[in-house]
Amino acid sequence: MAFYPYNYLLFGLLCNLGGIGALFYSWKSKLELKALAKILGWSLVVAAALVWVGLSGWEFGLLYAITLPSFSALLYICLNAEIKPRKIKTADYQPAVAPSPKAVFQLFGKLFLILPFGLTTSALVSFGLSTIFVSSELNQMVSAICILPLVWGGFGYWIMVDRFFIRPILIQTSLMIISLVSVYSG
Amino acid sequence: MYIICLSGTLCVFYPEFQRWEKAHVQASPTLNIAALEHALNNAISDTSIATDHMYAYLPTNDRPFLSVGNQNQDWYVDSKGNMTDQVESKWTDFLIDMHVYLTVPSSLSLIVVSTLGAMLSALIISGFLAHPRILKDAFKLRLGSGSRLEQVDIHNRLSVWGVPFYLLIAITGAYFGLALPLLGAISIVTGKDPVAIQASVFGEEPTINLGGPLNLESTFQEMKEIAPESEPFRLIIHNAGKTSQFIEIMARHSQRLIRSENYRFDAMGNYLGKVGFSDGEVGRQIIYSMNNLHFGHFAGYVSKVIYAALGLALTVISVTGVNIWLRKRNNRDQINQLWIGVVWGVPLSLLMAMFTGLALDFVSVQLFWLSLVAVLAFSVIVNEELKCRTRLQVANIILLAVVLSTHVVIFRSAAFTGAPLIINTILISCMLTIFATVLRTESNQFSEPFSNANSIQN
Repeated sequence: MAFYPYNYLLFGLLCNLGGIGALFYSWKSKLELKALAKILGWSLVVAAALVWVGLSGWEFGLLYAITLPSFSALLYICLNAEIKPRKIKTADYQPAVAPSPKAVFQLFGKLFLILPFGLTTSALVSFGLSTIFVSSELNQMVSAICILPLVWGGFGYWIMVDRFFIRPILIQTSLMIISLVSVYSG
Repeated sequence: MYIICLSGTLCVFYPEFQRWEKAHVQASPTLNIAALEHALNNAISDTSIATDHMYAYLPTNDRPFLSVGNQNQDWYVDSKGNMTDQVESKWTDFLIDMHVYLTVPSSLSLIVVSTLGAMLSALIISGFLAHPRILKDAFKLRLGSGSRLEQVDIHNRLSVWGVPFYLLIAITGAYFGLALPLLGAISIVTGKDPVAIQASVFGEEPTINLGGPLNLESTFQEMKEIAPESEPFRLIIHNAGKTSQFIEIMARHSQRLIRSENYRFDAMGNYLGKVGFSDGEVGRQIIYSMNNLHFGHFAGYVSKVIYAALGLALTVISVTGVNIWLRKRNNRDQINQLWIGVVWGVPLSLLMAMFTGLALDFVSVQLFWLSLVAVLAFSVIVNEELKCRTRLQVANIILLAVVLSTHVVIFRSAAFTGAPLIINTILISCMLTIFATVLRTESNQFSEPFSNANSIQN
């Protein structure tokens, strides 16, 4: 059977557009079909992903699968945009006031916690997690490198938002110790 | 974050910018092995040029000419194997330095930039946790209806629909600066030798005792038999000129994200083995895919356009994020002005550097930062957001026109072919887009002073 890549490409693009379109319809609609539209939408998006994998291999295909829906979505967003005449307002100017020493101290304190402390705890926690879930040494290191930004970002966010300042510090320190124990015992 | 996002978006097209800067260089897309062998052997035997590692860039679609170089500099190679002019792309190198190091080449600035990758992860996580309705408003976009709401909608819509890509960029971006410190930490914790750890990832050097001139005809003949489907694009001579020297050919594999598989040969062209980036452990394959995953150089212009568009979206997100924060405040102060200066001053300063690079063959990091400081000072002095923004936008339009005109005057018909044409088209599109923005602002403008609430958009 002959293989016509352009036909599959067109099919993939239509699934992409149609899938996001179905999601858009389910978002906008108040009818009972909206649940069905949602299922149809995600199914078409997955179908498009399979087409990209079939056409370009699983590595490129997965990348297309996670990036191309964005363009379809932005198209529907632009088509659905409410455009009103722009009102331009000016606010009164007030010269900037320097922050208080207490505010500066708190800010730099949190910065210190997020940067060196957060990096240390997240690096060890990332490595600890990778030793638990991944077998080969090389793959453990690579897993740790890949999840480090996510763990560090999560820890940093936690330090910034938690009402009880000491809580994230204590928990992250505990996690770091547990990770060290896991690494040394493993 | 804004500077890194903007420079990163532009860096997607760095091969095109390199060719745009030297549009007069004739393309020679066919590999002349004899010329390459002659040039490399001469370079290695020249003590004023030779360094421990010597490099050759083979002709590809992105870079259709042959060059040979050491650890500091590259030279074009003509058909007879003579090294001619130096390969220079000052503005593109400056742009890459800006993205990777924020123009201060050092390990510390690389770590600082990579840290922003981790911070981007934090922003993504916080975005979802702090906005419970973010998915419910998935397709909502209200333009013109109050400046803060418009910024919020633009910010949230672009953020939500690009999350997988932004996470990818954050993780791969963080890798470049944090990998080595993390490996150092792992070596301390596990007691393993850091050199051994690196060797396990990037491969150990083969042990050879064979000096003499390079035989590249045999090497490439052997290469064709071993990996006929691959596309060699770079050649490295390790321990050049010593008895332990060996040749490493980096070759692209079709439909693979790995930057290359590296094939090793001795000086006579005998195959020694490959490193294993294409079929080794998963971790090794992932590490060696980080470059292509981050810069989008794996599927020609398809991936470049996707990456540039989503990179631009991330740049807009970084601007609207600060806009939202500024509008939440009840007053306007110098920070509002400075932010306008940053948003429109950075591209203006980049264009200034582009112009000096073209017209004077001179790109200065100091001049870039000085021009940015001058723009910031201008923004504070003008002290009226709409006027400041419009004037800076007009300055960008004018400088874009000047850069385009200068390029056409210098390179004439070469400005309208291949990669230079693509870049000039992008510059024209930027000019028209900014012009349309200025026109829209002028046509919608009416002023209504009041004592509280929001200030004008960027």
